[in-house]
Amino acid sequence: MDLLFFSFALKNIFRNKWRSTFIILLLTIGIFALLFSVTLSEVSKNLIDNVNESTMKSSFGNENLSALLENYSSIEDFKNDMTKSMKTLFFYIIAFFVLIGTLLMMIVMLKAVGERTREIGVLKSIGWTDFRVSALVLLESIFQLLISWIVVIVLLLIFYLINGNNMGEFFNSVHITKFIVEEIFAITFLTSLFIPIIGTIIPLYKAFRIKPSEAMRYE
Amino acid sequence: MITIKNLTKMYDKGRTVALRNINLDIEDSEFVSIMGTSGSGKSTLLNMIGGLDVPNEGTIEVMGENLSKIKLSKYRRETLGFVFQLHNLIPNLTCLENIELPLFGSSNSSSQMKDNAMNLLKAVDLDEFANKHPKYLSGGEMQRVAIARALVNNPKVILADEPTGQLDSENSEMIMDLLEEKQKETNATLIVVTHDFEIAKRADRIIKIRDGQIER
Ligand SMILES: Nc1ncnc2c1ncn2[C@@H]1O[C@H](COP(=O)(O)OP(=O)(O)OP(=O)(O)O)[C@@H](O)[C@H]1O
Ligand SMILES: [Mg+2]
Repeated sequence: MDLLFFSFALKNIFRNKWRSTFIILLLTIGIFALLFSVTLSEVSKNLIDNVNESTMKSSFGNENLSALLENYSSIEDFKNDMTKSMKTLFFYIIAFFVLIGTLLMMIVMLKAVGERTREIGVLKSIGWTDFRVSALVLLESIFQLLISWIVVIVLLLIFYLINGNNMGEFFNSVHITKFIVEEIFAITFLTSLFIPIIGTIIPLYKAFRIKPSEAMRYE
Repeated sequence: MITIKNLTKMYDKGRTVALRNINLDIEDSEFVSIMGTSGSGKSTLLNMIGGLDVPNEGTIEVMGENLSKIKLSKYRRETLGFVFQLHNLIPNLTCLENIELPLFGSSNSSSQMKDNAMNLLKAVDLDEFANKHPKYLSGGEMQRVAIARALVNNPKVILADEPTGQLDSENSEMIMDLLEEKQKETNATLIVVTHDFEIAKRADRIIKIRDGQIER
């Protein structure tokens, strides 16, 4: 009996297009965040590594350079400040993309709720308790989370294996990358945790409230 | 025995009165058909008897139990079998799994459930479709699966809301034959809502509804 219950939840995830869209979106965000941070940090690494007295003189000229460095005790100091600004900039850029992804996910989840109303009605009409219907929806969300997390982790591992050596050097030499990767993981993790929960609470609430006859009037 | 007393059902905060002071008795093992024009309240009445919705006034007793005093999900699971106009099968599940669904939460083991469901699929002559999804079936075949699902819990009361509404006359005959056969076999009470007099006249009794009231 429980096997059928589990397989039902799994099938719902893979056959329901909105649910799958949600998974794909989540993956896209994870991968996008990863690629974005790596690409950006590569650019910034090159930029900052190239900063020294002679390159700065040639691009700004002697006078401008001293004016520029007026507020800094040394070129190192200037470099640190630049690194900090870049960290902030990248953080906001990436946060922006994650925010858009989150909004998309919310829309997808809400659509998915509407789409399932009729099914909830049918399940109730054949005697499923509110508790059981809710358990199904909850189980689906948990599966969804697990699947997307597993895929993201596997992708990361693959990426790391392919780029093993480069990556190590990368993470050590560029503080920005580390900073951003950690922040992005935190954001992506929280997003992938909270959105499915919100997307679950709504159908749970609906499942408890709606009368089966009402639910089955939905198309 | 189903006893309905002074049943009134309103929608839109009383602006629509779907059922007005209905009084009705239906005997055990009786086959009753309900006829009436569109919007007369047939589905509403069936939904009330099936515990899919609750009345604003009046009481419904099924086999001595007042529906407002019992757990409706348990009542639906153990006493009722529903057949709808649109088969309402779950598209993500195979035919066999669809039939097993109502048994969830019962004490049956999973192999018992499967046997039970398979026997019913054989009874509606669709065992070769057991592992197919509903979308590969014709309308009549889907409706037969839906009937198998409605019967899997050995219901004492079978409720069908225009079970042949989407079918041609040949398929309609087959579905009604099947429903009646199963009803006779299990001594269940059968209530069928229909527009079609050919179908309605098969019943022991025809109840006509107009504007939410029973015509005398
Ligand atoms: N959930 C609802 N909300 C508002 N009005 C409703 C609702 N359900 C039914 N009604 C109204 O109640 C009346 C009776 O509806 P019902 O569905 O019982 O008719 P019916 O006899 O089954 O019609 P049909 O033959 O078209 O299925 C109609 O006027 C309908 O508009
Ligand atoms: Mg109707």
